[in-house]
Amino acid sequence: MTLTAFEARFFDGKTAKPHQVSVELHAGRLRISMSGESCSSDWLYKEIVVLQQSVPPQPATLTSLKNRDMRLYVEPEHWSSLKTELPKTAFPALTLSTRWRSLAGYAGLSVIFVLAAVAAGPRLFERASELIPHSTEIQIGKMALDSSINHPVCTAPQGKAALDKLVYMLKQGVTRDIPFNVRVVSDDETLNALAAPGGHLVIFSGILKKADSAEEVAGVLAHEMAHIEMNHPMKSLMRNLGVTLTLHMMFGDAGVLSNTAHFAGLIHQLHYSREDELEADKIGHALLEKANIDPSGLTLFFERIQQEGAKNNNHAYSKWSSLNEYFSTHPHTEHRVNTLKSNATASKNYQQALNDSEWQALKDICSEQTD
Amino acid sequence: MSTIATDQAFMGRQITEAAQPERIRHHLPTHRITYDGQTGQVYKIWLLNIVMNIFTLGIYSFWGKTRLRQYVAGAFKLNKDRFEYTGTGKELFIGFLKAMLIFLVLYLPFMTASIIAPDAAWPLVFLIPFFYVLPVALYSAWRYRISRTQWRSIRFELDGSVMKFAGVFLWRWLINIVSLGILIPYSDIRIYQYVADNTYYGDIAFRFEGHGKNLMAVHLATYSIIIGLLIFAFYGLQLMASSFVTAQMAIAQHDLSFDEALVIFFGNASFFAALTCIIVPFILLPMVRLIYKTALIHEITDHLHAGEIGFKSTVTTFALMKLKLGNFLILILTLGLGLPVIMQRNLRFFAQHTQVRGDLETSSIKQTDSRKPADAEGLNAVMGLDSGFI
Repeated sequence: MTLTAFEARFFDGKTAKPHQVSVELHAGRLRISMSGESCSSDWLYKEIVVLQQSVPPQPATLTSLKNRDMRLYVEPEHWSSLKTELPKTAFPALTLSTRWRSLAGYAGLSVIFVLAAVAAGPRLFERASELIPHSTEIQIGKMALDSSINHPVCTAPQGKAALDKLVYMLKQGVTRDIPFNVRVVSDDETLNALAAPGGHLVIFSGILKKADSAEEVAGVLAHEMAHIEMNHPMKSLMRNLGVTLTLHMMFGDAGVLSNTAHFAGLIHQLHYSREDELEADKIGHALLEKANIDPSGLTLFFERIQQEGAKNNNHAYSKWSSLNEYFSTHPHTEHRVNTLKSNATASKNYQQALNDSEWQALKDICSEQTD
Repeated sequence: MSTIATDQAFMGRQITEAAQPERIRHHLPTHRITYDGQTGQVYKIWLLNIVMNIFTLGIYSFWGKTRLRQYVAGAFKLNKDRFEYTGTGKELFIGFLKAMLIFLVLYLPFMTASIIAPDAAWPLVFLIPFFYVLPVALYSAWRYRISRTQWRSIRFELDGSVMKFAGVFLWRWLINIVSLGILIPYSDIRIYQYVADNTYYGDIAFRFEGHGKNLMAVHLATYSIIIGLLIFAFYGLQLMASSFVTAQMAIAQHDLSFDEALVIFFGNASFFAALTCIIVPFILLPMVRLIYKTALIHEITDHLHAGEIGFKSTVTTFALMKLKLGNFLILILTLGLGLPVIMQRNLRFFAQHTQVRGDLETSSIKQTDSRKPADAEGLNAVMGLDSGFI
């Protein structure tokens, strides 16, 4: 049965007075007559604009181009048949089919955009690190270190001299114009060294305690200096900033999802930082070669750390090591040692990195400390 | 018989005289606001928003928000006719871009200054404009929402100046701090007054005749109870600390293991006394505050007029408590997935407890074009004020 007439609510857009009207369908027009009054007005189909389709129990909202303040509310039971009568022009942006179609197109474009952002985004943000002037970079590094490292600094003069000598030798292969600011901090328990933006290097005294020769310390130092040479700290800072911003834009207010997304982002970051570590190993190796220091020191040092690790948690270590690598900022030690070994050239005559008394002075650098 | 028939004809919207004795006094019919939004529909819109936001890097959120507002406005009905939201996603998006720009312009001086002088305090001066951002964002958002709402083809408007509102807002904020919270009712009312007095429906202006002094008694009563509870909680913390010290001393003296120490710590009667002292105020504090909140809702609703039309709230402290407690439980038990349910509860609650009084049928309210349409909101979206919902 086709719809020929129905009752509706009508408002003229000029006053708030409600009108109960009867609407008749004629060819190409709706005839709207006020009940109890003789006057009626015609809405041509081509003038009708559907502002909102009916979502039961809500009526459909119609207006006319003659005066867009007018409203005709069509109840759900009449809407389904009236809808088929109206021409496409009555549904400017809101028809379900065009809306879905544009959404699909929009989603498709966005997927491409997201994929491009994920693939190229971190690298783009890395490039942004080149725009940051050195003075700012040094300032940022200082701020980062001051707020995170509050160990006493080791300052024995002879030890410092030995350290400076190592830095000077290794600096010969560095092309980036940035001053190095290397310090040893007193913490025998920590087997670590770190590079902050702006040439700031920190070596924890645990490294000096564990090392058997100046070559091993030189290896660690070269690795961290390589990070600076490649501008890794600043790049990773910008990369993390970029990933965080992107994720926030994507998942900003999606509650539970945002946690998952940030976890995914973390894995993303870890992947990049492992790449950085392998690159630093390679460049560090080159710095050692250039300084004519035996690069096997770094390899030896890693091997020993690995053996200790194996001793400490023998069974679990071998079982979980591959999983560990996936979730760690540093590549698996065994993997690194193998890579380093494959880079090693046939043994040649390297100079001694430090003589015995210098090496001893370096090991004792923490005999004097300032806070 | 005829009374029943009339009531049915009005579909229960007009309340019988017996139930509303005030009606006789005012000779004004009372109208209920109804809300018939369906939770299933709200979930559909909400979930689509989440999925689309992921694919579109959040850009869809402006259109999604619009869709939700349209649906919610259309679900409110006053005397047979529904409300309508006429905002568009495009307006929201453009408003957001503008707000981003404003934010950047405000932020640049601070950023530059703190790079030039990282250790100095003077760059903080550049953060002062940010105090204005919150009230400005709030007012612009309200203005946009209100101006995009209409009923019976007549638009609502929020006039007034954003900067003046920010002035009132910040001034009252300062007074609240200086008066140690004692003058909070005056501030609440003053801020509401600015908004109410600048609201229009077509050519009729809203008037607000409430006063802060009407709330002082209930405020001071609840305020002193809250301070009492805080002292109680502070005492609880002290007890807790002392029972912790007792346990530690026992460990040191008797060389106990960690497990043994735990037994002493929790076995200590004063520990549970302390826990009670902390938890009881924690539960009671918000509940006590709801007494004031109820009084505030009554004050701002019952003294609001639009021409001949008046408003009345039927909120009770108990009902508000049930609502808030339920919302809280839903939020934590569903890990946020119950957000649409909470929204539905709030909207239904508002409709259920708000009445409109006056002759809506014959009043001659006219549309007006004298005021300019408001700029789209956006600053609040940048600040994350609206938490992405409605």
